[in-house]
Amino acid sequence: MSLLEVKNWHLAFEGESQLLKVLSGIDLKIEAGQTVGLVGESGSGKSVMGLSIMGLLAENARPLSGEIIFQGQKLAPSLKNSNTALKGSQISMIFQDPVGSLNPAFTVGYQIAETLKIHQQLQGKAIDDRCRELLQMVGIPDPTARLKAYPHQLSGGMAQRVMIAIAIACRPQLLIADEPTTALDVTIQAQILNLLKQLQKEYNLAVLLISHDMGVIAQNCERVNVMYCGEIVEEGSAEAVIHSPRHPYTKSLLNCLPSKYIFSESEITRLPAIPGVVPSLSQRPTGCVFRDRCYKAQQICCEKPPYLFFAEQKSACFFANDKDLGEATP
Amino acid sequence: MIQLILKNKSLFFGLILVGFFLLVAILSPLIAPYSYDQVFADQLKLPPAWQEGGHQQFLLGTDDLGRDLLSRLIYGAPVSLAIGFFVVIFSVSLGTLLGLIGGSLPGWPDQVLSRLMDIIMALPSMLMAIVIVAILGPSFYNTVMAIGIVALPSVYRIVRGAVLLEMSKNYVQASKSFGASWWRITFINVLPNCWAPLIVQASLGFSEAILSAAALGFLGLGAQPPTPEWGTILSDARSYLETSPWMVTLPGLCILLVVMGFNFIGDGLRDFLDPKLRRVL
Repeated sequence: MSLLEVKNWHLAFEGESQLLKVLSGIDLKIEAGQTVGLVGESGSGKSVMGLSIMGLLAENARPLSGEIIFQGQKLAPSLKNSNTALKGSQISMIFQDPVGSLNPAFTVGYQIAETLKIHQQLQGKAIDDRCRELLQMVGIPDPTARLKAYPHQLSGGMAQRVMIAIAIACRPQLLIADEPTTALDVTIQAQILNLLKQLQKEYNLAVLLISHDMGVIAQNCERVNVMYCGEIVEEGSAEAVIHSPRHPYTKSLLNCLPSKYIFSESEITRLPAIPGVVPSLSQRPTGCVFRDRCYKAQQICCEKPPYLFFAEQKSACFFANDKDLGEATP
Repeated sequence: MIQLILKNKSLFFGLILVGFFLLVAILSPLIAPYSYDQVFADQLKLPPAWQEGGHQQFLLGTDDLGRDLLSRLIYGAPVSLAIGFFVVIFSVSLGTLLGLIGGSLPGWPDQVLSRLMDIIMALPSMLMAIVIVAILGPSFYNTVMAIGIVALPSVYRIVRGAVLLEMSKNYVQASKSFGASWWRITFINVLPNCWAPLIVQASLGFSEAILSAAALGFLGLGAQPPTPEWGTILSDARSYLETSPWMVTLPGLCILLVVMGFNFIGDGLRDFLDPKLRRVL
């Protein structure tokens, strides 16, 4: 049994006049101790997927079908602030904006202690000791002094470390990291990702790493899910997806990595981009969702949605089996 | 801290004014020359000491029953301040509780509470207070209750607005993700972030309450004679406005100064508690 299983998850937001489909038919599996990546452009539904698992969706979210199962226990479609016993103790989440995710009115120590108080029957001194231990574990120097610090006194990297400390305080099984390093600069990004890796080994923690950065995903994940327009268009082991993508979208994304160009000997070229933008919720195309921006689009792509090609590596493209997907040229 | 207060002129003057009246209120039995209901039958309507016909014995003169005006005004300070204090305690505590509930539970609890506050606001506040006092009967506690209920909507609206704003912030979502209950999020995590506007409203509410109490007293519905409430003193003296103007002017001046003091404090606190403005000052 997988640690977390998302089966055919459909979700919509109630708009002013119609239901706007956000996620359609997401299948996701996370095994214990595994790092699974969820990658895609802004607006592809990555964060909404993470929030679905946590049950933190907005008031106007309507689950249409499917289920989310954690350790054999059905989490969704109960979307309200439910499963409070599970949240923070078994599954926890860290966010994109670490400073804003900490309560400005309380000290760091109080906020770590709060999670411990909610989920564990710890008292007085035991809580203090555990807080100090946690701060040490996430690599904050002088933890005793830092416990008394307020969030505005921390840098972004520090604040994210504190968030991680809070998230792992109760030794959860699954950590959902929603773009944990997007707001941080690159050196801190590496530190935070290393910290996550190290904690993962220590706790046998499974991580769902949500990011738009293919580089981050490639370095940290064992399995990768590529999301576009609320669908998973490609899924497979990180190696396979990165080195031999079976979907034009993945290929285009990889093509946009700057590292490929910065160090190349050739003359300076413009960084490639995928033409167009993610279509808005109300204007999702029929057939293949990516066809408007796809370099391989044919007549068939407009007619019916592609099925996932089942092999080691799944890809929702009619041409996934072509020997060569061709060069992703914008 | 002290330097910051000194720099903030309106907060500084407000604190001095209110501090002065607070001191007078606390020390009233010690510094008042006479009791507030001691009658000097042969010294009616005496002008203040510095005016012609005044008497050193009665520094601010006497009223139409021959009572020392200075003593009455000194004894009036604790009455007015107590009304302000209890009204603020009542309206702020109840308004905050309801505001937290309304702001954090969108849907029917918010609808019911907000419409209720709209109803209270729709009625002219003085009329509303008069009706409540008329039903309950004039007394100190009923005055507090009436003014407190009238002051409720402004507190409710401020707290509800602040809660709505805070609820959309990331730390609330983070709290939810750590399994915090509605109760914990609303009353422990969000409430401390709503203090700043609330404290400002409380100090402004203080002055409003004193003013309303004086108005009720003036209408004969507030504290009853011989309680030396400033509004009541003012009301009793109004028929002598032309012949003995000090009897009206002096209690009016007291009301003015206290209300001004609290308004200064409220204004000053607004700047003081707003870190963005503090840097400029």
